[in-house]
Amino acid sequence: MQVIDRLSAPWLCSLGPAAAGALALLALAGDRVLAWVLALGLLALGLAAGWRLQTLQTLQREQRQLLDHYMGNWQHFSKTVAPVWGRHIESSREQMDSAITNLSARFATIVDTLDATLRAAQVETRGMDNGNGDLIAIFQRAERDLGAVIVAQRSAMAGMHAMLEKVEGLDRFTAELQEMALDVAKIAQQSNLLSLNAAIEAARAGDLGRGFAVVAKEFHMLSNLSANTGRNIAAKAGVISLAIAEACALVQKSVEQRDGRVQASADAIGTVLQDLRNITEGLHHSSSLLQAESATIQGEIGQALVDLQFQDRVSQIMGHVKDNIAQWPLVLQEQHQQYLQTGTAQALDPELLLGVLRQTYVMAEQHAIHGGATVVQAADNEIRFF
Amino acid sequence: MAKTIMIVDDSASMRQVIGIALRGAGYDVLEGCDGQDALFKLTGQKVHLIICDVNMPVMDGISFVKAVKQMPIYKFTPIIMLTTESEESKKLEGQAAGARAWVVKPFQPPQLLAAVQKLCLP
Repeated sequence: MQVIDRLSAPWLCSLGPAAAGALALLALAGDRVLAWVLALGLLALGLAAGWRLQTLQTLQREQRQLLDHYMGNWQHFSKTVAPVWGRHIESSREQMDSAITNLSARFATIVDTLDATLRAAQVETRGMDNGNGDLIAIFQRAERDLGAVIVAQRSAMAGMHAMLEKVEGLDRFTAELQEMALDVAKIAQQSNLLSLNAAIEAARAGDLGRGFAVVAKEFHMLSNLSANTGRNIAAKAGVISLAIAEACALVQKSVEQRDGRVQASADAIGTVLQDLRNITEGLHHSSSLLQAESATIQGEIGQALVDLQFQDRVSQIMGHVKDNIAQWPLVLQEQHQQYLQTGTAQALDPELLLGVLRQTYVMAEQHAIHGGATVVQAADNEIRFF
Repeated sequence: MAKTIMIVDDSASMRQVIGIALRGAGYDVLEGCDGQDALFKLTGQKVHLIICDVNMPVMDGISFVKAVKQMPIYKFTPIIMLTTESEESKKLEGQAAGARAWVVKPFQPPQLLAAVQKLCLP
């Protein structure tokens, strides 16, 4: 019925007035040939106009159907494409978030480990300092203590040398004892001569010299005793002198051996200390270098972590763009609805989406980019106290 | 006794970056992934300062600051807003809510630590 209505409408609009005009002409002009020709002409014009109107209406309807179909297609396209774009953006955002979070966690672990190592090294160094020195100081203390040992040994050796000199000095006394023994022997010899002369003189005196002969005899015995004593002294002095000489030789040998050993010890200690010095200096240098390098690495990683803050900004921007893309099908749907209601297709206003996007901006750079400005590195350190 | 600072940010990596800077300076750190989560974690313990993001899901930073200022025990706890937000109106909103400073990301740890030391409760 509607189709019939739609088909008849243009014909009614055009044929109705033409038929009415033809009837009016025939009524006014009467049954004349010219009137019939004009009336038929009017009807023919009405038919032509009706056909034209019918064609135009069909064309318009087809155009509207095409536009409706076109807009429906766009809507379908946007409804299909926008969520996929959104999912890809969201997936990328999540992957980036996850990767950056993991990366920063690993960096954080490295920073913590380095920090713990540095603290331990510093505590250790501080502990050594509190205990009167680091490695170098410990080495210096060892060098000083071992040097004192060498000095003590050399001092002991000096004492042995002094003792040796004293013992060697005893030999001089034995020589004096030998001389004294010789003197005793001489005295005994002279005493013996005196006692012999006294005995001769006592024999010549006869009975008067008998008492003197007894004295001479005793004196002779005394001189013999003195001679024996002198010989004994000389013999003992010789034994002592020999013993002292042997002792001196032994001590001399011992002192020479000990001198050699002390020197060898001093040389060995010197070599060991030099090696230790090289090692401790190397260790100290390595330790300092390690601490400095650790601090540098820690600083670099810390700066890398700071640089990773871009993720927060990028994530927000991607989120805003994703939300804006999700709005796109709604805008097209609204335009389609409006067209269906009014029959007029309104041009799409970019501000419908861009305005919403602009409202989500939180960073100055987003406004700048929106306005077509060159992307600049975001400034940092903006701090305001209230 | 180390001072305790709460970090409220929905970005885990940001919490880590801020945490490293604060722990390196000797502070203890509490973390919240949004305003509501942070409010749940404020259970009466002493918190010397709060560092808070603005744009977060569930509960945004400004709402969180307002909620914290309603809690008698944390009424005087200083709050630093650390955010990518640079709109003047937002800063004024933060100030009105009770924030004591506004730091725009990206930040440099020394500057943030200086702000923390300046505002931290004794």
